[in-house]
Amino acid sequence: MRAETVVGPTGPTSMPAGSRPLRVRVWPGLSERAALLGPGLPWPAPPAPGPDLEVPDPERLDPERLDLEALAELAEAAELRGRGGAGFPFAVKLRAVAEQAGRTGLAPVVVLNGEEGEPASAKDRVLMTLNPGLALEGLRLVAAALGAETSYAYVSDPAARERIAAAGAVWPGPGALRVVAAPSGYVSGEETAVVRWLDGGPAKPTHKPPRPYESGVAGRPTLVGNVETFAQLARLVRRRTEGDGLTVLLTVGTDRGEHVVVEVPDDRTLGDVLAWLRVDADEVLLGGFFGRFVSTGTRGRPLRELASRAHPDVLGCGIVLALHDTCPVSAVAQVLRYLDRENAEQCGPCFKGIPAMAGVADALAAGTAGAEDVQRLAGWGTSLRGRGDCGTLDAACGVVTSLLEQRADVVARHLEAPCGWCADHPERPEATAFAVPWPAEIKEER
Amino acid sequence: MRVQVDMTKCQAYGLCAEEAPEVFDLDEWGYPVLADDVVPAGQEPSVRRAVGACPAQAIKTTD
Repeated sequence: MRAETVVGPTGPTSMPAGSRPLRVRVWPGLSERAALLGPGLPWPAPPAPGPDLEVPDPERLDPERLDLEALAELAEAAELRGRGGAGFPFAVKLRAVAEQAGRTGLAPVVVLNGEEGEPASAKDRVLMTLNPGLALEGLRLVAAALGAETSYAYVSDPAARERIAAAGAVWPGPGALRVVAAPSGYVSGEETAVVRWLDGGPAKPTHKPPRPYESGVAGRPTLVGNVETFAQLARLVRRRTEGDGLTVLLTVGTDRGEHVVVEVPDDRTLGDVLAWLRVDADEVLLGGFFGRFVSTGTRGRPLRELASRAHPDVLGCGIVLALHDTCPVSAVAQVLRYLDRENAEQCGPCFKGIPAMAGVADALAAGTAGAEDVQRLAGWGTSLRGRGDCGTLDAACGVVTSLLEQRADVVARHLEAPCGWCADHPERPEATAFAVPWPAEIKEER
Repeated sequence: MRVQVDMTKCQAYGLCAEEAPEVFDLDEWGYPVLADDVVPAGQEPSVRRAVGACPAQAIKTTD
């Protein structure tokens, strides 16, 4: 089978004038064999175990006759969770799609989701650019395990899509690979929006249930997974070596326009990463626009724990946004304005609730909000959670609640008067000021 | 019986809260809030009326 590239909307592929290169760094000492951003695998990987295929149970993990339960057990033992933001256990997702396929007799569909809608994230595009074969190897293993007849790569960025399509030209099966041009946008990478677009509709989320595992593309049980998640799975299967745990890809950015994509062993702490990169900002928003202001204790926690959702400060899609200058009240107001613009305009509580919250956050930054306004804001942050059909409203509620609970002192001071930063910025910058400039020249630093 | 509202379809007509006020509360913008997706015993007939009354056909029930 050959990959079929579906030509769609194209965007700029040249670098904006004057933009800085995007740095890519791998944790010192992380073995080349263990790194997603390392030298890569032979693609497609040979079917028979060889020197590159140090797997514990090669027979059961041979992609030509792959055992689904072996793959699920491997993902489970490694505690592999979705790296697109939701952090859902991958083994659970895999088994749910397989069970539904068994029940319905329908061949499943597998989707590599490369629509990186969070403006402050670039790790998936970097991974697709540097190592497209690794992501496709993961896609192929899952497709083979599930008996899928069609696999999709859903990618909005033209340059990354070209890399995936070029690697996909030697797609070994099973079935066909379709490389699809996705529309870019905050909601278009949400899994039901992906399914809707692949079925010919708009890339906007739908009501759940049904979730894609129950009824996805063309009504088939569908597994939609993040690019990094598939790559992590491929590495687990193909390059498992003693002592190599999972790694984490992070996009570390600052409000001074510095950005770096890094790969770090997941037993390192957030504080280790910030010290290594010499980022000394007091304020860190973890998880990007779906994020939370981290507490001091969070910096001492291993990334594995922050990815597991066992702790309230979660890694999400791996954005670490360090605020050197920006006041957290202003940052929240900026994020809310962004979410107000980028939501799908489908669910009333979202398209009414977000601008209401943004209005109070703006007033708070301007020093004109009263205690009763803050009380209303806190009420919305709690009562609106879960009332939209995708995560956008929950993102808004999350940053609001994080600000009010974790930065209560800063909020209280703004009831008296705006802080220096807010006073100096009556026209607040767009939240896209936190975005990674893209397209970017990738500069690998070893 | 369980009930859910497809918020991507709901247009805040508010007829659900008229037909089944014990089940559907309305927020400040007129969108329904469900205390629980399990319908309290005895409320099934009013929920069925709400399903039929919704102009957006946004309410679904399952047994």
